Amino acid sequence: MLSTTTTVTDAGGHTGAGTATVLVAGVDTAALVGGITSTVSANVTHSTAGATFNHVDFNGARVSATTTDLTYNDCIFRGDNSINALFSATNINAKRIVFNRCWFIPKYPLPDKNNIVGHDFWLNDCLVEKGSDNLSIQNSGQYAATGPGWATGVGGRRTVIRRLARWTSATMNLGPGDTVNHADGIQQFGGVGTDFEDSIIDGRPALQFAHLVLQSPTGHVYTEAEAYALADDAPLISVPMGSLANGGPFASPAFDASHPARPLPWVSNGTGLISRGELNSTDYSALMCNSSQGYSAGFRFVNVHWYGGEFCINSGGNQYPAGSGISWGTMTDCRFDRSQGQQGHTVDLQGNWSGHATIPTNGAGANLYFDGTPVTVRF
Amino acid sequence: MAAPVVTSQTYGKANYQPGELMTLTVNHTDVDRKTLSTVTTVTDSTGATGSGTATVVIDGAASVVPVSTPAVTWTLVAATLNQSVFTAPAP
Repeated sequence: MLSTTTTVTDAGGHTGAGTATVLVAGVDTAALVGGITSTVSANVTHSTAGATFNHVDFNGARVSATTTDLTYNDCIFRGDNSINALFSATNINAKRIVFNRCWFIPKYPLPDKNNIVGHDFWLNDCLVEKGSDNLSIQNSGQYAATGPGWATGVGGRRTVIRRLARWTSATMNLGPGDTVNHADGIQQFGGVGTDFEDSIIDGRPALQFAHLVLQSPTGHVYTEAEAYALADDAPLISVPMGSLANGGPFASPAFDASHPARPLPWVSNGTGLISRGELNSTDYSALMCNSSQGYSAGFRFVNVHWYGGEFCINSGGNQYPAGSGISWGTMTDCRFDRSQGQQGHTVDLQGNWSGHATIPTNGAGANLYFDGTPVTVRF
Repeated sequence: MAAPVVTSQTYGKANYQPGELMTLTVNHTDVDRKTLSTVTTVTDSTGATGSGTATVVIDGAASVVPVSTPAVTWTLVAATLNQSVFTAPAP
């Protein structure tokens, strides 16, 4: 914290003073969550039903939930020094985990580190950022027990999910056998009923964090604030490969025919414009729908603001189950930017969902780009 | 005489990155500060008059000095009798 005391002296030599503080970098705990009163630095498992945790900084600790009706108020989750998620609700018994005004931000960025993994958690007024997948919705136990169509129990109100970050590894792969960044704001592996309202789901990469670090043409490495304030058509120059303290960023060699070499931490889409997705390839999504744990369906998104992604909403791994009659879900009054890495692929369900998804682009509840034009939807 | 008072002191935002330009706005008052207005009338031997007015501030602020920990060099970029604005790079 920077503390400044200002002294005012009048012509008669009399003085008065005032003091104010400001945070320089780091986690502004006071501003965001009203002040931390306790710190947990060792991994914990919360197994007492109905427990409540207030103003706790889980700093260097990952948290696992194995019971029901847990409530976290004004907490910060930073995780431990492993690739495990900051918070895990994968246990089949985890139900009704509620986060109010919480902040999820990794202390130890590592490859494939997610912020929240599991099911049956709810986010009110939260900020979730800088994870590989910020939310990874899965319930292998329930899927094994009852098959497709299990309820995810996941949702949020007035929550921001943003700044995707996937650190490359020292072996120069972005993941096992891959050369493509697969970071998602939300990745869902199956299940129904995921529900967000009045929220922001932002599939753009984190800048000056993980593997995407920019510098000026004269070699000045931008601060985070400078990077986010770059002009739309600013020259986008990565710091030299291997120049960072962690040995990154890493260029990926070719892996196979479908995984060519990636010499930079992003793949230009040719627009040269940040607002048109110049940095948003390859393979980010704000929402990625998969079906390894049964179909993903029954989504509800109301007044959600969506950003980025190579495809913003990508249901490529989640085809419509033929003859099922189920609905992918509804989107109402959502707004979208145009910074998709693949221009025009904003809502891209890719799976014969035509007639089985309610995503109006005109009239009441229309889903539009921020400029007021109808969003591009591919069913 | 009363001492001046710093009525508020605020930064431009709650969280800066190192190297980022910070803004500090200091609002201050001095209850002893007064504006003295003097009207001078000149009358000649015929009784014709002319006048002029001048004002002066009594006990205006002499200096406003912010000192930070850790140390930064604040630069005054704007000032009125009751407000001073400074900038400095975040350490």
